[in-house]
Amino acid sequence: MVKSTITFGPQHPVFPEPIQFILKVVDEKVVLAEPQIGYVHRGIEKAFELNDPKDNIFLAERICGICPAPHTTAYVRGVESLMGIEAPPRAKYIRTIMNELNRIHSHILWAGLLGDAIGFESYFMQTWNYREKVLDAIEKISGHRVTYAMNAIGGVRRDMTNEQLRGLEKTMDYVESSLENIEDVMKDYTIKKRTQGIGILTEEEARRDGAVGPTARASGISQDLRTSGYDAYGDLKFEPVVVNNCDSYGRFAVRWQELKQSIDLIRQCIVKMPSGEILTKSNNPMNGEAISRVEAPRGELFYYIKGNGSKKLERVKVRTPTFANIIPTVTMLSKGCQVADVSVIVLSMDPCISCTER
Amino acid sequence: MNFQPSILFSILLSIAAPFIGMLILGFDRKITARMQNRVGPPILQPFYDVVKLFGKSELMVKKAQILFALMFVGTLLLSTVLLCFGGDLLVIFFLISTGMIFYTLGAYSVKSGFSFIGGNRELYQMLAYEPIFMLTVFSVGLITKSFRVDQIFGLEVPLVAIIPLPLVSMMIVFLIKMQKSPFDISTAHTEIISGPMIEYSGGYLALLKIAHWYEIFLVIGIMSLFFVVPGNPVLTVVSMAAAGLAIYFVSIIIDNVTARVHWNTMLRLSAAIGITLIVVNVAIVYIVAYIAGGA
Amino acid sequence: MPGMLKIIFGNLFKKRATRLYPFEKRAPFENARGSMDFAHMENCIFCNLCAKNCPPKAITVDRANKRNALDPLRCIQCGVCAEACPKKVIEMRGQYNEPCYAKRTHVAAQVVKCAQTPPEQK
Ligand code: SF4
Ligand code: SF4
Repeated sequence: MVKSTITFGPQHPVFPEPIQFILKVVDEKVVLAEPQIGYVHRGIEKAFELNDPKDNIFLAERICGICPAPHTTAYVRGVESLMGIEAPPRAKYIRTIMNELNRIHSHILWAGLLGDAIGFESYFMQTWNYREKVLDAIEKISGHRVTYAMNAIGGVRRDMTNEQLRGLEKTMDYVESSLENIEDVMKDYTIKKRTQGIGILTEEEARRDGAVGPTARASGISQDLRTSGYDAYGDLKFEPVVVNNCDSYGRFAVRWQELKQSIDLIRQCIVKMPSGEILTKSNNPMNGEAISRVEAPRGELFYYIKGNGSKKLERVKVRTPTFANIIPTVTMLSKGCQVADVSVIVLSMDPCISCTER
Repeated sequence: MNFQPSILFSILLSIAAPFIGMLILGFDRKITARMQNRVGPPILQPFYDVVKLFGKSELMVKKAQILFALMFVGTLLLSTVLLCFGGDLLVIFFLISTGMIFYTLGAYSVKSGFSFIGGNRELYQMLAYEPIFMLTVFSVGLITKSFRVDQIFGLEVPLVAIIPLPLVSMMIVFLIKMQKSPFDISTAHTEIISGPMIEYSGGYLALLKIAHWYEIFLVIGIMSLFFVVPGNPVLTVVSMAAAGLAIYFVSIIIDNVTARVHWNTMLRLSAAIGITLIVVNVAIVYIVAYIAGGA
Repeated sequence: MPGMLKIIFGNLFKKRATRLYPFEKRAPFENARGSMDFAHMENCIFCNLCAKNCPPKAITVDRANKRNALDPLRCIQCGVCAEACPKKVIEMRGQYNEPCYAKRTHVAAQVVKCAQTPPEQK
């Protein structure tokens, strides 16, 4: 029985971004975990106040390298409600498509990272190969694979041609068949061994600690902001994916089913795509307060925006899903896991540290 | 004993041993890359890595580490030479174990959490593979009535025809020694960042890499002893090389279709599969001999 | 596991998915945004709209010397300048920026074709 301290991170191969967990271990067993955050604070919230609101879209896009679409959507929706305007229907559909493409690539990325964390490199490579096709589809639509720059205040910047819609449909077919190809990793003995029963978060704990997104949905909480029907989601048919496993395998399963759900949502969008304008121009002053919430791949993304009638915003506050999920992660870690499971558990909530610390 | 490897051949083989290990490692990385649809590094990449490491400045936490690294390479070198000269399998086995002890001590000698856990896991691994390794050596000894490698060349049929199941068990040893999934737990880079090696740097890290080349040669060498074709030197060399490569290829495949398991799963699997297979096979050999003798 | 086996054996005989990037470049997609370029400087009227609209303020318009400058390391390749320019001077090239060793500003001077005014010296 040797008690020792392990500083897991901030530089650790399993974390793409810096976060530290100070683990107290007895042999291989973790008895206490303490998160340390604050390594990549960039002062973006302050920068929001200094820039022009329309330039802020590009700033919001750079809060997170993986989900630029939800961040900009949340920001422009907030500003739009301050201005009292609404995006035209076609713009809303294009936004929805970008958000869902974003979710697909983010979930595939996550699935690959999980493979890497448990030493399944070929699976990691294969999923990322499939993800590349999704990024290509995004680049064909928006002009860039990571920073889409699609949203504008009052609509979107680029329209989608019929050709692009058809191309997107083909990509969706490809992604669906590739996912089917690799789906049997869900039944793999070693993957089950590493994820089932690891990182338990019961429903009460998830509610108490305020878990959001797939982390909450894997604990049996039916909570998906898309059901509130913002953008085009009101017109689309879908049910939030909920499973009751309460462990890392459950979170894996939720994301895997959400991938299929997103593919279906994009198909619905393509079929229902309305025609018309893509941008509502407006010079209304921004006065008052607004909140806007969007379901990002990792969970609920929250923006609070305050304007004072001048050309610049007075305050922008962002709460990211990872921030809400850190406490549940500590709960999972403190239940006495092994050192080998720390990376799986932390990854299972899909941490995005840069967007948490901004 | 109609085939004795000549002294010259043995000397050449023991000099070439690490380079054979290195080449195998290079091909491993290339094939793995192709299986993952990547380009992969050049075949000589492990060699370039080591050359580069020797050019780096060394930052050692403790002097003791250096000693343990040197002892580790030394014991492996000794056992390689013994293997090439047809020495005693039991001595080779104990030398390898001693080497691993030095490696573990090197990991324990520094005050680093990851290194410490790496050392622990190295011990768990030894707990998992030593019994299999030893029982395999014993079963070879039972068949050849001696532990000397050159006795294997004096048998009537290849060992694999008599005791094939220990070869399957040895696959577990092989996966553990080669740090491949599902048993790459001591160097798991996404868990404990290469564990025991984490506090080594520069030339001493290079020494550990070279030791790994020796390990590859040793384990493949011992496993391909099962494929010696008595009385036919040319066929023996061909079948041993082919068997070695085939074993390595199988291990690459297993590496690519499994995830890493926990250390306790590893212990359970190796005890359940590895030891049972050997015991069953030796029992069968004896029963067959008994029936044949009785009839 | 069987699915994975099929995939890895398939990959062994498939064309690799990765490229040796700086040597092998993929053709950019149609209307991909890449690095921006003052492609048609002769049309520029030095209205300063591009510089005003650029979110990170990477462009400086020098009306007196008839030249525009871009700080490529500030540019985020958003394409706003290309949309804002009334004379379609700016084009997005679709290629990613080349890596560089030093910070340098790209200066695009207007070469006046008309014979009356002598060409500007850089
Ligand atoms: S907007 Fe166009 S025309 Fe105006 S200064 Fe810029 S490049 Fe010249
Ligand atoms: S592409 Fe965007 S960042 Fe670059 S110069 Fe144009 S407006 Fe500025």
